[in-house]
Amino acid sequence: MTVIGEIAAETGRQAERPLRPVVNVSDLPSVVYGSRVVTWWGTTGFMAAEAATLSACVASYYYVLRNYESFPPLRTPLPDLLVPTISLIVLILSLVPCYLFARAAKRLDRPATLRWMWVAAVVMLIATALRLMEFSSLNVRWDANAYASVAWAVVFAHFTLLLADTLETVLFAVIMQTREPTRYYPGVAEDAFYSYFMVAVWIPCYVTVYLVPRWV
Amino acid sequence: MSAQPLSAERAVESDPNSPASLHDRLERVWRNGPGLWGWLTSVNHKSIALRSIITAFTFFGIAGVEAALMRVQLARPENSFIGPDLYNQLFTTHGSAMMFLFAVPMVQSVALYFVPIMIGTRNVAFPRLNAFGYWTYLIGGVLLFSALFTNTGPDQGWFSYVPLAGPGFSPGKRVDIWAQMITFTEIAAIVAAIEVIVTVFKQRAPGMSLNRVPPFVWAMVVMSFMVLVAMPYVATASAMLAMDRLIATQFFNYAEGGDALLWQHLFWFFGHPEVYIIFIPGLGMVSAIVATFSRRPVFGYTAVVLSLVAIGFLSFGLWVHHMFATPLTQTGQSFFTAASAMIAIPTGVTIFCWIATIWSGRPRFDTPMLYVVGFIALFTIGGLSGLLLASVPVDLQITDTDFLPGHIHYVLLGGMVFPLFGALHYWFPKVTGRMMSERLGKVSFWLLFIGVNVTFFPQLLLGIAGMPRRVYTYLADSGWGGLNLTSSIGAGFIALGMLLLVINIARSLAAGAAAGADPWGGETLEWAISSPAPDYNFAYIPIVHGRSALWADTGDLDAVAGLREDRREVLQTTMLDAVPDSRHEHPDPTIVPLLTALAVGVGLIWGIFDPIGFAVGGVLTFIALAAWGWPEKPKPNTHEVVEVPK
Repeated sequence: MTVIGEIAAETGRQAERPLRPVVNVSDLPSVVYGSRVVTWWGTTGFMAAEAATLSACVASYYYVLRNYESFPPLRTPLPDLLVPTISLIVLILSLVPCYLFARAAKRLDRPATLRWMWVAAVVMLIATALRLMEFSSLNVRWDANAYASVAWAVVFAHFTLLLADTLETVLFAVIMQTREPTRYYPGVAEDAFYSYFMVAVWIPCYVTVYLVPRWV
Repeated sequence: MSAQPLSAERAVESDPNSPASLHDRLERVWRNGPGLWGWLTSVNHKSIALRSIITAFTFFGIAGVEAALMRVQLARPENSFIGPDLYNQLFTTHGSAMMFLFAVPMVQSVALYFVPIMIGTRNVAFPRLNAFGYWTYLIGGVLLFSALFTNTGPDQGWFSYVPLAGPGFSPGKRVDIWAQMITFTEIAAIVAAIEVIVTVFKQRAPGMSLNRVPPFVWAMVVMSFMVLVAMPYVATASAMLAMDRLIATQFFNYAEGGDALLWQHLFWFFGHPEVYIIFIPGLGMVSAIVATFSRRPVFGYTAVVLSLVAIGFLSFGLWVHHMFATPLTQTGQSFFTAASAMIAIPTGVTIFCWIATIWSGRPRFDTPMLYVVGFIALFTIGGLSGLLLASVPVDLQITDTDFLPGHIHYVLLGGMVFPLFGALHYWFPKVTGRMMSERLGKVSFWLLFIGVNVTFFPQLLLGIAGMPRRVYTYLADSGWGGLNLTSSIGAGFIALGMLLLVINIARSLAAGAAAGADPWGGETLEWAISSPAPDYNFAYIPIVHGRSALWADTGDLDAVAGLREDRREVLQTTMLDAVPDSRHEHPDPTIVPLLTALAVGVGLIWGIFDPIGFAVGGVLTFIALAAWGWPEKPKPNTHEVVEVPK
């Protein structure tokens, strides 16, 4: 076998390798969208970590569930369904303006982007307020028993995602309203992409916390 | 590819300036600011990774001194050098620091230093996030050791089992400090993992398709994916533990339906992959060293890379083998025994590929290569002792004995520290521009190799003889004195080896021989540029024509021109084939990452004492993140070229 490294060792020992430009990339775009952008991948990475966190909470819920003969435990009322269900519907509806501002951002359509971003921000603020009310819909304090602790953990863990997403949408809306940097449009589109994830992961959490205690 | 090919003449025309002035222009744009402010605001991947490596080595040193103190205490029976309370704090902070403040941050820092240079880019994908990760890690480490030095060090063991770590048996704030240290380091680890993945996926040099990515880089990518899935589990578990202690949640309280085994599952679902999170980068370092010092590319590239990926997947199916002494079903025991045995297959494949590489190459046994051989020897003993632990009946006999520390140190020193020290000698010239002393390097290698065996082999025997782990002393008539003394003498060898290593580093920094760009005749792109690497890494982004980037082209390297030289612009390429796709402007140095880390720090440390701290920290963090996201004033001559999706 030829020992290629030997040759390199002789020729490249002292100086750095000369680089000979043969391709010019100055015509490449500086603003692109979706998986062509690093921030899309970064967001996806955080989604993976956040999904893992939620899965740890949900797994703990089912683990603790096995410890009880009756579930929820004795003298612990079932969680209410009304507010959480309204909250879920509002969350799902918030995806409509999200979709619309993402579509507008992909066309650099500033008026439509701004319009739908503000609508989305308002709907998400409502969803956040509803989520705060949801904690009392659990009908049990976090310290009552392990069931209460895991139920609070699932709802709270997702609450942090919802809050972060809402604040991000508001911040982006303010930036686009006041500054409108062209290079932020892909980020705006990704904000919607994150919202799809945030709402999608809530659905198994909702089923776990509000429906499973009724089924077991 | 929308990039325009250039003829040789055009290439010259497009760069009428001399290389020297190109260097000056790029240096002006990419260097850190001056003085302390420049240090605090740096977003350069090499500056941050280097300070992270030094920080991790410092924590390694402190934790090593703790180990030495414990060995002094155990050197003879009924010794009174250290009392039980301090001993508990020492072994807990030793283990926690080695795992969370040394091993993981260290391998990630090595990745953050070398991955961008090896794949031919100018910085990591998110420079400010990278700086934020370092500051967060630093705060977590300082928190742990500040607690130790003020006699508030955690004392419940590095895996913090409940109920011992719960509010009932561990009053005070020691465990809370441990739990919050976990949160800091997990944030930092997740951030670094995302950096590595995205940098590798989107910023590889043109031509470096995924099947040409160096095995070292693949190892770091696999490790990073594992971090993304595993670390949230320990962060969630430690948050639950902290809440049990702070606001009386009942996650682990048996009386209220909680479960001590829930802790063990959550912890080990992280904790077992953690071993491989530390070990897989070691495999990557070994691959790089073996290729260079055998003077041929690694044998069986595809098999090695697929094995790394397989180890990553399999490592998530083994965690219950840490819990064989708890009530498990027979099926569960059998399943996890089989899964544990299965991981020997991909590990074996990589080992055989390296042996084949050495066999069919022309090996040179310089210090880095010695560490590789040392790694193979130690890791084999570690692996064989692990085989005993994977067998349930044997495990029941030796669990919680000194066999465990013996085993884990063989695995981690063999699987991570030896490759790391090999990597240190291998890449020191690239980082500093100077060679390390071979003579001192070999002496310290042998001291360490002998020291590790003399220290930890007796611990395997002590475990079989029944000595429990984590005891601060033992009776004279136990018969354990001789082996313990031997182990302590071995620790002396390790300390001496480490001392020589530090002296070697100091001497080489001051007066080592000049290294040149490529002292070893290396295969990967980092050896194409001068040592130490310039702030911008590559004057032009190289184009890669084969798996061994530098061996495939022995003369000039083809490269890419056209990135702006008046701002921090990097080239983004497509994920699979690394075709040039877009240009992306990176941020200038900024203090915001440090401020954000401080805001997170205020929240998490205040939160140890009062839940209101989390809210205050949350608000501060949001303010810092708003400043982070706020657009900078556009630079003059900014012309965005937008390509909207079809």
